Amino acid sequence: MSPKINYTEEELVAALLDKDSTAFSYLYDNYSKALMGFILRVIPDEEMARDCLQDAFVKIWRNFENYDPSKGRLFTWMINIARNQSIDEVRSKAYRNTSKNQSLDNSVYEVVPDLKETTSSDHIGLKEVVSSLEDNYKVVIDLAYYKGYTQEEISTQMGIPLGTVKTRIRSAMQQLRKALIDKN
Amino acid sequence: MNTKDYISSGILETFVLGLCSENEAFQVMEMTAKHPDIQAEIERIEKDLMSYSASSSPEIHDSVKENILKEISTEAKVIPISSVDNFSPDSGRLKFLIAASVGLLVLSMAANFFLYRQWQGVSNQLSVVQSQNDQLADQMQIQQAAYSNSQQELAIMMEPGMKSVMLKGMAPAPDAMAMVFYNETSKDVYFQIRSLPVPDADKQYQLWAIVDGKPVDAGVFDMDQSLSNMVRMKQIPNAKAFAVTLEKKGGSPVPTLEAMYLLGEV
Repeated sequence: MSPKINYTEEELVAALLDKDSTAFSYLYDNYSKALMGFILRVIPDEEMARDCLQDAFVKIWRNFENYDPSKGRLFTWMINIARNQSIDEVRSKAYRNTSKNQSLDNSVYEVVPDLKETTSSDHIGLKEVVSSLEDNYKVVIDLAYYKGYTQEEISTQMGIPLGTVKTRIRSAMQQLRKALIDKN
Repeated sequence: MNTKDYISSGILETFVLGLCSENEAFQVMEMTAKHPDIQAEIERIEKDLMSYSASSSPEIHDSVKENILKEISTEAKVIPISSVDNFSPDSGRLKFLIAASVGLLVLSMAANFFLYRQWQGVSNQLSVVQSQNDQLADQMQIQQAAYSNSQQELAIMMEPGMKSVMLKGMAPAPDAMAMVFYNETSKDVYFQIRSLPVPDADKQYQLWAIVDGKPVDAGVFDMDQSLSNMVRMKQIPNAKAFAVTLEKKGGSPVPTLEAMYLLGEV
């Protein structure tokens, strides 16, 4: 008896296309925390973020045939869905109504009008991993990862030549890797 | 461009982050298929990004997963029980099977241990019995040999014309005693010690027959051999008496009369 607890990405994609709920459960187990952390950067309210996570996963399930493995990683595709979903929810009426009842929270108002206006990560408790990253690198990763800026936008925002954006992201990721290793 | 340069260009990071153009993404996919180290680097970048955002996530309550699975349940393919067992490590049935397996394993190990101890005990007993059996067999063999020896001796003594001659101790050893069985017809002479002092290592007892008043050599004998058994000596015709003297090892042509230990008439 050997319970299968690991899928290769190909197996996982094939099983999800086949509407296999076990594969979906596996997908959730492996990606939910990363997506939750991701969503929380846009929606600081935990309860709302949970709803968003739930909606994002249902969307991933229902739209899975739209994922094209030849164009990118499954993770990248899921992050895009989570990003879009959280932006949608932030803009939704339900979220506005809820936020009215909360004390003024800068991040909410910074995020709602236009996600691309802020580069600060001034909300809920990021762990030592983030704080040990130099601001310069943190900003690059936040723009590219959480906010989904294009290379052009990053170039403008950071005031660096377009041709150096890739290497800048690369060094930031190297620093992040170092910070993650140090933490463990 | 070699893979190392390709990796350090930062294109893989932008690919995973979804910031590549379609052309670049296509190129990355091609490179990935060809170079395992590029594939590995992509997976590492992905893992780093996931760890990064997961590090700011609280524990997510199980109800979220339950809600999601409930919502999609009608759209999900029904997976046969057996295949669910194979794929889901969390299923209660699997847990039960694992628990049952572990239980059975423990029971089996306990039983094995118990049986092993029993087997060891029986094995020890068996070897004891075997060695006892060997001893008995040895004893039996000895007894049989002794018995057949006795039978032979008895047969000799029962031979027609067989006379038994008691040799009595003389001056050097008054308490000594021996028997000679002499068959006048067949001329056979058998000798057996009853009691005789142990001689020095360089000496040996010699049996003499007195024929026509003269001593005739009837052979030497060893103590250990003739003490327990009847020893066949040389054939002698017309013996009237038998005597034993102590001689040098191997015997003498003439008896040393001063060293006469035994004497008996037929």
